[in-house]
Amino acid sequence: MHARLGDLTSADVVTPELRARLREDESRLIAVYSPEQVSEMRSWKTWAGPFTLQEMARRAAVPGVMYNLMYRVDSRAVHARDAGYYVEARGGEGLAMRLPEQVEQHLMPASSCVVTTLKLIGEKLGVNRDTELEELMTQIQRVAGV
Amino acid sequence: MPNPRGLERDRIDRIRAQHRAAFDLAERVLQFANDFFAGRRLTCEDGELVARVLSGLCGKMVATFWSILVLAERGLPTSSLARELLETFISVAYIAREESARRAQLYADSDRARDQGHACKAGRSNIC
Repeated sequence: MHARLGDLTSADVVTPELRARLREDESRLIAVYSPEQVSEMRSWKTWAGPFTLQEMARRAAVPGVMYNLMYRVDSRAVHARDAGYYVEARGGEGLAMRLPEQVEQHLMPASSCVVTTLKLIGEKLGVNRDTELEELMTQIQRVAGV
Repeated sequence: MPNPRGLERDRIDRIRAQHRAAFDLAERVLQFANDFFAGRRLTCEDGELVARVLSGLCGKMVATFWSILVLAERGLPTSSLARELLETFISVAYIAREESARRAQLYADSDRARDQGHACKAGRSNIC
């Protein structure tokens, strides 16, 4: 939120209610740590420099659909919030661990991602294989039922 | 309970039969990506570092996609690898679209800083 307050393009989405909540959250942290330590925490970055995924995606004008296909949708799995898929209730026999078959979960989105990336790299490095790339993308869309 | 590794052969056969078209196509994509630069001399008007970083990201992408295929044919989770693949795409897009020389230099500097004391990776980075 501090970053957003400093960013003029998104400052308008920071409402007075959000500001009040920020102050409340900060005061809780300051009570546990100290104003100096909380001030230092504000400068922490999860990733170095501009190499945050969101920032790179924004600067590279990556379409939101790419992000949503494999990143946002699956953040639940990556953060281990999908335990329900790995357990089975067997009535009176209690619980059993389940090894699911997550078939094809990413096969076609991943294929699409590879083809799109190759096109970008090819354009930059003078490798023109556009006809083959377009044919592969058509096949991917057909198999994925897009 | 059987060892899960013992289930793999049966799973691979069954899953590949059920999704033959998708696996065949994904393997075509893997082969194409692996051969993408074959017989070509790579050049980049923004400098050799850009070519080096993008080629490296291409290699990483092939390896990650290969891993996804190996896990997918066993019906195992691929979310973290799909995320890694997407992050590779975003890195490529970030470097390729504009300010390529400066962004490749940033990437290389970041790589060099992080490589120091990184015990999990065998060998060393060849970006710089």
